[in-house]
Amino acid sequence: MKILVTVKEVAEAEDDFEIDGLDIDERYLEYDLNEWDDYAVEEAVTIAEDGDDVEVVSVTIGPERAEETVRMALAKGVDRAIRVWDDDLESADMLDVGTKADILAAVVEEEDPDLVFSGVQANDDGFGATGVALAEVVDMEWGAVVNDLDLDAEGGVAHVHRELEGGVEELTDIELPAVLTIQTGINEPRYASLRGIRQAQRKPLDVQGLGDLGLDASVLESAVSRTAMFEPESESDVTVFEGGAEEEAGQLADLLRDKGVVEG
Amino acid sequence: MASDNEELHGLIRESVRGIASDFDREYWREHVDEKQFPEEYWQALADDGWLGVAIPEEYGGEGMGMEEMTIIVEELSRGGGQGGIVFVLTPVFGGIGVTRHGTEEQKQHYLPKIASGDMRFCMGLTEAHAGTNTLNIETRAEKEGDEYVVSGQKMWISGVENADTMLLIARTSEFDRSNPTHGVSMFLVDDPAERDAISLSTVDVALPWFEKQYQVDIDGLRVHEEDILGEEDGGLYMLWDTLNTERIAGAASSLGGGLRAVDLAVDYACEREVFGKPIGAHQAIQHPLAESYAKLLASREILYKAARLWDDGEDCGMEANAAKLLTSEFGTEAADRAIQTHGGNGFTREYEVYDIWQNMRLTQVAPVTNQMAKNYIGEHHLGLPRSY
Repeated sequence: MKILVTVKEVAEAEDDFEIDGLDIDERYLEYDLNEWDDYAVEEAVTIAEDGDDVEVVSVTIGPERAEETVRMALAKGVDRAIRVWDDDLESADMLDVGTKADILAAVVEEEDPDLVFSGVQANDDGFGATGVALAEVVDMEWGAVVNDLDLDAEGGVAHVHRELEGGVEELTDIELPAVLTIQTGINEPRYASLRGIRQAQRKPLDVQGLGDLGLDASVLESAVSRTAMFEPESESDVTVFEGGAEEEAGQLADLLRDKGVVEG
Repeated sequence: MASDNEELHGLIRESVRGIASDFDREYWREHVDEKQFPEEYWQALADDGWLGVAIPEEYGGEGMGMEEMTIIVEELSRGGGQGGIVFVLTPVFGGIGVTRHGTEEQKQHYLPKIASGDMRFCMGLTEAHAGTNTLNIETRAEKEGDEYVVSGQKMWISGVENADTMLLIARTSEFDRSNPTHGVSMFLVDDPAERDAISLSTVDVALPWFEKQYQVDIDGLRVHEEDILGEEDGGLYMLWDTLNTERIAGAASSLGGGLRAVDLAVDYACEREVFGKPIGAHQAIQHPLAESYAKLLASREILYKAARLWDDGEDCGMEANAAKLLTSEFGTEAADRAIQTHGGNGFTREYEVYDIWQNMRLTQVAPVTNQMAKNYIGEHHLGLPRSY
């Protein structure tokens, strides 16, 4: 069995930052593994540890800097990694969901995994769509926002809980091969052990360009473009009620009336 | 290979930081208040291979060096509870001591258990009448057949209640002025707190730390000759050999503790608003913290130099002593400034900085006084006349 985990290095901005053109100024950014992907890695590695002959491969689209993030996934138990990058990707303004899905689809075709795990969303751009879009391109079954997974590898079925809105869960069976987008809280991600970190130094990390995947720069064409970047004004409007319970209730009632929340 | 090492060390830092962050202020306070060994912390460090960092791979460790151990200890202490210092007794004195001087049987017996977290050491060296002058120790071991019979009194012995093995230093031959470091041996004494010939009385020490401190009275303790570590009469040579690693690991913990004090002070100074803006906006608050941070980063350089020299098999006495001296002074100063930054809150237990100060202040005295570190540098590195 083979599990492909898509991982992404995400940018985190400091509390105070400046915007430079269409992006946050690089000086205020730090990079780390996307939180959701950490859970996806853990889920795959746990399946590999509990099962026989399970290979876990991670794939990322990102510059050389992302290798530290990828190494950490290798240190946690991923067997090998693929990093997709080249000059065309480097010069692209942005990678939209469709582009990422097409690139990852090429990797899926090359690797032919039984399962693909991706995080539900990335905590920088937050599109939350790459996993499902990928399933669509490669024509696999999919399950989004999975917070519990019971895999029947022999039967080729994943019994999953999907987190819906309002605390409701959907229990469903998904036939493999499938793409599952993994929700935080599905497991408890480990810290890499010292042995894992040492072994990760010797695990293969293969860098591929668009050409290696049978793609070209046309995959970067996008109907989506970033037109502006700004920090929304935060409306700081806090009212502190003071007094006994009755007084405070009265003040709250006045406020709700003033704001038009209640009438009368 | 420098870049590979850099990546490796970055991953080590990140993982260790993660573990440290799982053990919060409440956890450490509870263990200090109850004088309980932090078992969960210890086991987490063992499970992921951190305790065995410098133990050879054939004995269940990771076969790395002091540079990696220094990173681990620094990050653990920076992460909270000044927890990195737990490395000194077991992975350093026990692990490095047995690795370098143990017999094959001793290595097979002790090293895998150190790596797996199943073996803890304490150190029975200091005596009230000898103090810093180790040559004057009065605990004696007399040979009787294939055993030694040990009697004497040890002082300021930490963590005997948690130890599976005590490294006990006793005189086995008369002091010889012409060969002063000869005549002392180091014994491995299993289950020290359980032995009938050993009695423990606690010393009331005001430090916020989980270990108790003891006066240890030894009366007729029988130790088999196979339980000598290293050569008979060669215990001080062995001790000196391991002391630089103790200096390095201790300094790494002081560095981490000092950096934690700065981290906490910075957080507080950014949050706390008086006179309409964060107190960190005032240079009277900001400059001392910036200076402490600069001093700690400078001392970190010589600390890592010491660790790398040790790993390369070079003499690191000057660097290890300098690191010990500077990290303890700069760390205490940083904690003092962190208290000042916190105002009255600096003296509450909630804000941790006064706890850090107390433990940092100790590092100027133990495991060796800063005066002795200066004596070493003055005499052995600068070539000044011996001053004591």
